[in-house]
Amino acid sequence: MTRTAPGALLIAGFALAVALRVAIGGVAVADSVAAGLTFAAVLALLTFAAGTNCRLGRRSVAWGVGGAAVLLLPALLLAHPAPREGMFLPWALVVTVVATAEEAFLRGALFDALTRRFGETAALVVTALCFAGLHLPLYGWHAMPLDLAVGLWLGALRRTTGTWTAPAIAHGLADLVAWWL
Amino acid sequence: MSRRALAAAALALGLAWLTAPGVPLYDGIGFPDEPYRYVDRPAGAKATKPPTSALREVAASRGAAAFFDAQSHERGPQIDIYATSGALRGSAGVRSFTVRADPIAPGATGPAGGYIDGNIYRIALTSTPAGPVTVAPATTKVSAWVALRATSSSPGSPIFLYRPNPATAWRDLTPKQTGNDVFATAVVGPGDYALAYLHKARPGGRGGGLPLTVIVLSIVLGLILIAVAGIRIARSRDR
Repeated sequence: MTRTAPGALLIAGFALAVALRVAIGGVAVADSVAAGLTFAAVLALLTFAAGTNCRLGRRSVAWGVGGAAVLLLPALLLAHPAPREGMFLPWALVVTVVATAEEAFLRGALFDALTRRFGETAALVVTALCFAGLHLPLYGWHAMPLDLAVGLWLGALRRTTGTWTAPAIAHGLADLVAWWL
Repeated sequence: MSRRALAAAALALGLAWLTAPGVPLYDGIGFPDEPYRYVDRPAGAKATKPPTSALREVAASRGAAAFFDAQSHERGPQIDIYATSGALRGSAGVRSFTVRADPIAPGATGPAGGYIDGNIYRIALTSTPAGPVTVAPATTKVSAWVALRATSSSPGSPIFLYRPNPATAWRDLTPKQTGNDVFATAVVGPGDYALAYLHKARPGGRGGGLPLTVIVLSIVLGLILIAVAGIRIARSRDR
């Protein structure tokens, strides 16, 4: 595959990655580290093969942090923080790797491919649908509205900043801060 | 254009939050469980706070309990009892039911040639006013379940044991794996429930945390991602 990799091919690869994650994780797919890391590895390979630009500057960091703050708003308002026991660093490492791989693929390689063919709005919507779809086997249908909206938000960050690093920072931070909520 | 996209996405988020149950958490890998809390900690197991009980008062209507979910307070819960509406039944005048599960030490009890994994949980089902409480036979629409967390996810599939009281013998119930290290079975009545293994060797008993191979794998994957990002950044600067 090259920089002209068709979006359909990337979506097919993405569907296979999701299927592989479910097959490895089984009933515990939402908690399975092995399944999550395998999924991330496949997405990283797809991203590498398709190619996407990676820009990390003050602007994308600022948008990423701001984007995470928005995602965490209701959790910060509603949560009853409680000390969580266990090893934070290994968990944080895994979560960061998975979130980064998801964003590099969805808001990077796939977004680029779809934008070239159909335009940015279509890319934003389709990547949000893919994002919601990947969480369906993990959290069920009741989480779909929220995951779809989060996918739209992360896509809007990508569209605003022109790089997948901003949604990756927002996504990763929102996941990591959840440890204390 | 991008401002409109941000505004539309923020609106979608606001609407989605209204439908989200409780605190919305978005993604990632589930939180690692805290180390298993034993009533009687075996040698080599990590020191923890004492295990907690599960307790829930459940409203009744025409002698039947409403839907309920009673969990202990560890992360993740070491016992979780949940039932559909109508799974608990009492006399017609019952106002409420109380579901309670307390951890007790297994002592020397257990299956022949094996051992009980973690604590025994003693489930008590009572009603107000006091009277007999029964569990309706499980159907596709009405059922009550008890889920126990194993001390570790490593040793394979445990069996589920039940006895109505300490004077009776254990009997096997059919377990169903519902999580990484969580196993559930249908509640058959008040009494003692436990997970057990039929082989002699005990697992490490630490619980929680992530295996070393997973940590190494994630570090390697992280380095690959950093390398890929670095190559891309370098190429984009060259253009």
